[in-house]
Amino acid sequence: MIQKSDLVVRLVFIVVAAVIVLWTLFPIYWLAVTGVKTQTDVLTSPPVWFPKPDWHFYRDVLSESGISQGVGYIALRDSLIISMGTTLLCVILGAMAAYVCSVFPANVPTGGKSMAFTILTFRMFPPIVPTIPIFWLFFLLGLLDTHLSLIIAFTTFNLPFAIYMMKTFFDDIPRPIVDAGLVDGYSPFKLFWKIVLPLAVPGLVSVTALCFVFAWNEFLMSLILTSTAVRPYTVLLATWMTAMEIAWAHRAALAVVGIIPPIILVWILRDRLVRGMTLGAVR
Amino acid sequence: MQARRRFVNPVWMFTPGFLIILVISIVPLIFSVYISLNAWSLAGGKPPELNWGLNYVWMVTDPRFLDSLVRLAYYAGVGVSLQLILGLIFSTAIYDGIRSARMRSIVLTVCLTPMLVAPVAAGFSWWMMDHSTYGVINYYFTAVGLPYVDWLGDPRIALTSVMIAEIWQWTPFMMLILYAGRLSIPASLYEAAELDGARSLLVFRRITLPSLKKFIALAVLLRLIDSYKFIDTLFIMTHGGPGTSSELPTLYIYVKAFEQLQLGRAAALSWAITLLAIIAGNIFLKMQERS
Amino acid sequence: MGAAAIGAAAVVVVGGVAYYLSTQAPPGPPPATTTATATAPTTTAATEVVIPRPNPNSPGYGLKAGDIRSFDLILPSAKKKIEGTKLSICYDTPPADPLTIWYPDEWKRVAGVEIAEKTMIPLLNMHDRLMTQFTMGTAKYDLISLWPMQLGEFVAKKWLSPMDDYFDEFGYPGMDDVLPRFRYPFCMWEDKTYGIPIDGDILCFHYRTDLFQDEALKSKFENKYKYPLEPPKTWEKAADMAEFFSQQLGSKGTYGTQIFGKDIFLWAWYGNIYHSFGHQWWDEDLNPTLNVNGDGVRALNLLQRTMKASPPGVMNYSVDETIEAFLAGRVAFTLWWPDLWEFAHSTYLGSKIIKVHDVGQCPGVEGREDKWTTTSPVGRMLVIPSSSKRKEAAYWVAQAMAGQTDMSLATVTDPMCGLDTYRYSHYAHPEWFLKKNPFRPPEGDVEPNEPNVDPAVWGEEPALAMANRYMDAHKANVEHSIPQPTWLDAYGYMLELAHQVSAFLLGQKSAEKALEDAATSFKDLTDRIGKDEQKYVWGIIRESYKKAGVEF
Repeated sequence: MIQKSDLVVRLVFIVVAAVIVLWTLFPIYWLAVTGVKTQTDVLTSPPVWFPKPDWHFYRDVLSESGISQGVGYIALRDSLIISMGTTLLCVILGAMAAYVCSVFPANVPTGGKSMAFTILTFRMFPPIVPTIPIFWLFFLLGLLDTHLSLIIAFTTFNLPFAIYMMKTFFDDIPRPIVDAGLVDGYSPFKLFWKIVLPLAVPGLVSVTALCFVFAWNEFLMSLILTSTAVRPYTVLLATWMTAMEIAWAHRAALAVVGIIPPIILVWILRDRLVRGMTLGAVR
Repeated sequence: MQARRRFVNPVWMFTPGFLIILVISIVPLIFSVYISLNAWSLAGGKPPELNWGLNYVWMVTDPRFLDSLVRLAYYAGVGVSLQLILGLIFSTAIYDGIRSARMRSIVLTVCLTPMLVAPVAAGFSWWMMDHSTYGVINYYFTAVGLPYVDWLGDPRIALTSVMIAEIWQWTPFMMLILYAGRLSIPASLYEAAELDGARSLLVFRRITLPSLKKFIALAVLLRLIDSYKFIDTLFIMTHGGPGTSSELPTLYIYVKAFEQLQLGRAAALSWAITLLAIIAGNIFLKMQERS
Repeated sequence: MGAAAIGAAAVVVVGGVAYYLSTQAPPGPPPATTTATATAPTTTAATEVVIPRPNPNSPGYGLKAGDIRSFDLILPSAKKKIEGTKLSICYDTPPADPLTIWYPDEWKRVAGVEIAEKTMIPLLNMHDRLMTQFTMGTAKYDLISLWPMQLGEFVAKKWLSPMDDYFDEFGYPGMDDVLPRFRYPFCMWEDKTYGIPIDGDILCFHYRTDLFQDEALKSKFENKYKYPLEPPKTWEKAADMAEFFSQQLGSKGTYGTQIFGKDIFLWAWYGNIYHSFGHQWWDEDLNPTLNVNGDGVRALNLLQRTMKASPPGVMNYSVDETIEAFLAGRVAFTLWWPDLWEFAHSTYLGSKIIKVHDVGQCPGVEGREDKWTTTSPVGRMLVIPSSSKRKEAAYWVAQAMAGQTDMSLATVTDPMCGLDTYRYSHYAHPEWFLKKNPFRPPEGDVEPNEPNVDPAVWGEEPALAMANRYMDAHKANVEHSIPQPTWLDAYGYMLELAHQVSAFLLGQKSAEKALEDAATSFKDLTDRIGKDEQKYVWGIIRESYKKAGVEF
């Protein structure tokens, strides 16, 4: 029997859920809409919710030779290069390291488990702390203001997380399978390549996606380690100003274009991401 | 009987990753200790000279730093508490309020989007909405009779405005953890309560919350750590302003190092924050070990 | 055991790096490059000509202040030397269009010099980026649009190359034509020329004429304050008027004035008032003089009154917000750089006050109305880094764009770039405000190429009268200007001052405490830099003030 109070409670929950969705999406909607506004629409009061769309900012951000001479396009391209490089490096190095920590903890200096934990502690550092000396280190190595510098820096900061997460996925693989491989005479690398890795792929894919999103959205280290030759879109977003006007529309357009890759990734992988996003708290 | 085989030590698979972490983060950290013992300012032209612990002495008497610590306590304490409360509400609303599992999954994914937005982009959006003249928020506030609020220009409110943007962006994180926690509560507990005719609020208090304790603790710790780590939103919304009324310690380190160009003092400040990091890290590890 | 090994290795590596860095000499002067062959005769071909000093054939020779020449003059021998050079330039937003879009084709056509690498740094990052890049030696520019505040630091560290040796072959920059207040403190250092200005900044008083001429407002004001409502000659009166306007019109969204609440420029808004009391930032011995006879507190209180009569959110106002507020008619008057007058005529920039604004002199303080002062907070000049390998080509471009040329005149009269007047020759040719910029490419630019005051819209004579009025106001303000600090780490000092003023305005400190803390920071900075070095530099600067006619 459906009770009246039940219905009321249910209704309340649904209304609350609707409010939550609106609250969640409004700032993103506002960004998207500002990107299509003309300058007059941007700077009016009352604010315009449904402007007549002027797509030239979005076009400009995505084209190599628009009004802004491709600044937005180059920034997005730089971000892509850096994010893909970071992800590649993180996945390769991280998977291998996590595999050793998980399957052969005895071979890892100071023991696999505590090494993984220690590595994770570095996640606790604010990025600014090591970035100051890294800045000088890269200067000595001649790496400042290059894509490589950011790829290396991001990999370094992301590896602990990646290793830790991937280790949990490797831990999930039933030990008998691994042992069977060892008995059969597989070398550790062959075991990794032929047996363990294929089994852990679904989980690894999600860690990869999160690595990409981290590198794509990173701001502070990018700001410090680059100045002019390389400019990820996050840095451009913070500093893009024209000489004389309040220029919201093209920054908004850039921000929205920047949201799209993570959203696509996460939408595709949505069922698998819980563990990564909650840092292993939830399996 | 095991066949004799040459066992290639797999540590070579571990080493590249480990080396990168060592060289690019641990070594610079140690170098940063060295910098913090020097008086080194890029402006003026004197090369770095050792002044031992003087930077640290300066640090503990620097009013700007001490004020920023107080602000951090407010920002982390209030911010994370609000995120927790909202996260509880959100996760409960979605878990209990939406019947169809498919709908739940869609709504959940939609609610994750704030976490995917670059913090700078989120900050920019909120900056536009909080704008003193053309911001949406003030327009509707004054339209319904609420007072006009100078979100980013009033020194008493600026930090709170940034905190609101952070809450918007990271409550989904809390929500996700708590939601997953809800999933793990055995249904039998709830069935027993239903049999006893308990009302929903009581059920919530007596059954749901205690079962979620572990998840709550983890989520709160992770968010506390992030609250002193990330300054992207703060950077783009107020940059510590107006004046220094919304400056957090991490932003102060950035300002000292890259705007005032005083590297020795900045390094000393960064070690103070690192202390926080080490303490937080240890707590996290202990918690993980216990679970 | 493994951990101990790793730890030991790390310490060894770090120790090595630290030792290496500590033995690095600070970046010294780069190897001396040979200057233009103006002095020694070449010994190869017999047809090589010795370039005389001074060279009557060189572009710009013999011009008097107020004269003007064509930018495209170049000696054949000079052209042969610099043809085909590709330059790398560094600049911030306002000079971006002229340097990278408008004029490069012309320079290529005339001298064969190309602008190959373009580096734009936002103004507020210029100081830290350039300092870091130059300290590390990674700056690879041939020409930089430099903020004068950095002059002392850059010259002391030998990062800039003097330009005097290039005059005879590549063109005279007409330094006599540069207004003395810009020439001596900003471009010269101990009799050598380090920069040619492209932007002569000065704070002017901009206001809405309709509000100041409104009969109803005028009678209300006079009834209340017992003196007429007109552009104020003192800050006390300005504060009264600001409060009055805010009170009367605040509910309709129009306020008295605005200040530059964010960023470093707060020092200049405060300096405008404080210097009017007749004080500098410190004395000959580098003792801070920030609150002589309590005048600092008075100045702060006046500034605070104007801040309270500003639109909400003003403490976050930066460049674009302050422009937008005036152009939208949201403030009755404001201090701003001269080009606000140019922007306010533009429909393209959305000005709503096109017909009802004007510019005049800045206020002084009571008792010193005739000794009113204004500050020149930014300004830009083209400088050549000593590490450049293409100094001659860089110099030719600099003197073409910023010398005593028509190109320089066209630039400062173009409303679409934020560069302002800095020469007597600019004053002498106000009719250029009525023309379009003839050197801009015919297409490919977003911003329209319009005259500042279009005679078609205003009428020929009224337009010329407006241009003259603008130049008169500019002249008056320049003659009463106090140059911005150019000593070692001047930027750092002013940043501290702005920080303290901001703390006071936000109610976090009393005025006395703010100024005391600022004085303490000044002393701290001086100690860190070295008192003797700073004193020496300050001595040079004071000499340049004497030449420029600056008095307190």
